[in-house]
Amino acid sequence: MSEHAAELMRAEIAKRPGVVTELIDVAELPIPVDDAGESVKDPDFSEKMNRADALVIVAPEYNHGYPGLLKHVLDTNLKEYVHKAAGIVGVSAGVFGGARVIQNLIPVLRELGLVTIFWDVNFTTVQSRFDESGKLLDESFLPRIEKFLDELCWMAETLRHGRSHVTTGGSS
Amino acid sequence: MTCPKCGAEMNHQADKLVHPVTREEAASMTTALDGVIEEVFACPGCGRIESRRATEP
Repeated sequence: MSEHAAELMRAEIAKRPGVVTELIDVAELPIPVDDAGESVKDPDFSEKMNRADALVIVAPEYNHGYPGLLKHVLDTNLKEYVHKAAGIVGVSAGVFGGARVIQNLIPVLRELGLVTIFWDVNFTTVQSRFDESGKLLDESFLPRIEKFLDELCWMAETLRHGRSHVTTGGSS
Repeated sequence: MTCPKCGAEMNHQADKLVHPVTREEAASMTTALDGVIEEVFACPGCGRIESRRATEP
């Protein structure tokens, strides 16, 4: 049911003026699993990461952790992520709403060079939050999503300026 | 570094510590640094990201 959460996030992001977004399903990427890291890069995915200013990662929680395939896909790039904003949306069938997958994913994103924001979205008991068509049944989630996206857009815009104009070491 | 997409001079925005990928790189590592440096650049014109290995730690 993470797909419904991901599609909702995509739709909310797309409402923002000046923001272009795309939903990427890691399960559909043609990335081999007989090796790992940048040696199995998918050029199309890497180009999208190069163009992106921010990532919203919608992750289901499996056994308190993140899906192995998500980590495998994230590991295929590095330079494309550095000094870009990232926010995490946790999804679970239980009451914690993916809180543990978020906590486990943050150090991974940090090592990849991404800058995580201090807002999360937690889809608790996700099986009751959407109907079969993916319509959100509980609109009380929307204000939190708005705050999450406010912060993400601020961070993305600030980091985009920084990447282009602020030089490492302090001189600009 | 010059942007391969639009030709603008790119901004050196980050030095990222990464794991070595060749025996030569591994041999050049110091214990204190525990990795090698990847220099990351961003284009102020089109936003493209490029990187290269640093020649000095």
